[in-house]
Amino acid sequence: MTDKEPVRIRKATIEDDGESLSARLEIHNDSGSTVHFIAAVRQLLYDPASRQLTVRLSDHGLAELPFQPPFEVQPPMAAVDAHGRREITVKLPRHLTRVEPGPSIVQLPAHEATTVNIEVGWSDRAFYRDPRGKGGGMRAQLKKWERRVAAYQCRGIAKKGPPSQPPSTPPAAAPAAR
Amino acid sequence: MTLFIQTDGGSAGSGSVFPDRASAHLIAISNFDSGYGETPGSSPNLIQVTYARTLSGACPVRLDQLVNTDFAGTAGNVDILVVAADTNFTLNDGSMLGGGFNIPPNAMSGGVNLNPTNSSLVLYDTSDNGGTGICLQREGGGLDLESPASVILYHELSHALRTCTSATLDTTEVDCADASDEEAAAIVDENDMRNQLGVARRQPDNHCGSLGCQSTCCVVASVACGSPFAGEVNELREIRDRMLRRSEVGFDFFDHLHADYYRLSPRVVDMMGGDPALRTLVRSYFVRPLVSALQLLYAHAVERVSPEELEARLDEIARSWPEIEQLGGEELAALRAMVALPFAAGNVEHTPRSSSPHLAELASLIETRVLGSPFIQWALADVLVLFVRGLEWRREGRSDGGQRLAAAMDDWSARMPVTAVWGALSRHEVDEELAFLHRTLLRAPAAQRAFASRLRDNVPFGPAGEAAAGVLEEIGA
Repeated sequence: MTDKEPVRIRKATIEDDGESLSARLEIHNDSGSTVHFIAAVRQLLYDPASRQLTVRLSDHGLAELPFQPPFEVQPPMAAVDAHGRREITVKLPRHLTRVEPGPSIVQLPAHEATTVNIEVGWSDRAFYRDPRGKGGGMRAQLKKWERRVAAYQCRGIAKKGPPSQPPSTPPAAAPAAR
Repeated sequence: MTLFIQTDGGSAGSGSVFPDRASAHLIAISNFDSGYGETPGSSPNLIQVTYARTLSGACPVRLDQLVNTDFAGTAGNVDILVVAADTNFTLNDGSMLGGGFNIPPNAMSGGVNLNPTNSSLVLYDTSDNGGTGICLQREGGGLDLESPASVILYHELSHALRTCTSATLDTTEVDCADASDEEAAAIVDENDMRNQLGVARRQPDNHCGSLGCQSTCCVVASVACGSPFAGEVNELREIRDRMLRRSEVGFDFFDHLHADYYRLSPRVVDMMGGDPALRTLVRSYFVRPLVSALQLLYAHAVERVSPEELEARLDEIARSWPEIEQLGGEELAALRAMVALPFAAGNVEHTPRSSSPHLAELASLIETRVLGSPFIQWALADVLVLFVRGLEWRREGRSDGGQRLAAAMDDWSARMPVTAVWGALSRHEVDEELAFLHRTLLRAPAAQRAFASRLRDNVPFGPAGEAAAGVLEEIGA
């Protein structure tokens, strides 16, 4: 992504409150028309070796599944006005849960990530499911709809502590006027 | 025997898989048949389901088939593993769970093996999409049908049966409004489970869903009443969403409450499965009193009825309810104590009229898990105690029963747990939250003052502390 990209994630912070992670994204639209983006996590990958967490609000790169969910649901969408900005927060799990051979359940400690790659799929038109029967499944339709992907890389995850407290010693009093 | 529940290595109920919930949902599928059982599997990560069916009906018969058929000769020795998960679960390609899947062994997607086990993997979301809910198309109607987790599990087990018998139908689906043959067959089966639960049926040829419905209410009440959509459960859900969940603070409170509640509820549901006496007890002495208590709280805090009217409404409730009306003073005291402090003074032995063999275990659960959670304590146990207190005052014939009940409600409302979310709000948001609570919960100035004082003590710095101090100053000492 370059500075000329019309839609950018200008700022992203990830916080860990001990129960879940919160990713706060600030999305800017420098174009002259409203853009729409996916406002839900579609793919989460964590590599414990490199401690890289990838958070995709995008179906880009996802292959079609050879089986179907019990219902096809359109993910939530959000819009940014022309020359506007929009902030969204998405919740992420601290651990990703998977089934591995064995079988056994493994939990990957996503909250230990030192690098977080965030991608948001967007388009200059709103998403509407193709009712004509030509668009394929939801995933295929979203991939076709996404015009580009805005990306951002964060370093580390901030631990969220208790509310900040004032200094334990009061500030020095001003000298009395003579 | 082919059906197993996957655990997370022995710490059942913790982490992000929930074997207790799988048990509860399978018991619901068996229609609470006493022949349902579980035994340790061949690996410590597995619980084997056993089923000696005693009931008829499509769902028990299907469960019997899944549990007691050896699929070895037909599909490569395939077993079925049930994994009750939530929205934290990701497939091996990183995509999110999204409701549920039946994944055949070694199913590949984009070069990634999505099921590296030798079994058919039934994954399903037990969190109702993280609490936001999913709406489906009602048979012949609109997109307003909810999806209880037991129905989702039954839907996926329908796929699993066809996987195990090599009978999977055509999965080609050009649009969700025209479901594939395989999905349509699973929806037809799913409707058997909906029939059993007594809820509306789903349109079989429509596979679409939309965000927004909520059915994650009150699993204990749902089982005790036989359906997640029974009148009492709908009342609980409506009061929850009408009174508290509409605000940031209320929403956060229910997040905590749900987390603690699900540490308690699966075991209670499990116990009720083979114990009709316990179901009756829970419905009569926990669910129904809770609904009545919340109705009275709503009348007091939101409708702002007078103490006399409050007393009249309590009287009306009690008169329409023979089980409660016939309880004597000692039995009411025992019921209150059972909720408040189950093992003290042998309270469990005096619990009203039940032959349930699980009473002692229920009392133990209340003792260890309810009293340990400030959220369940305040939202469930204390509310029940309030209600029984009101009944006791009524039985004693006190002329000031309504006033006592109103005062007890005010005292209770001021003890609402203060969560960390208060510290994250702006001043404007804190002011709005407090105004909302004053309208819907904290009716009396004394309650508003007591709560503000607790808020200031718990979150002394920042906007919440400032706003609390402002309320105290405004109301006065």
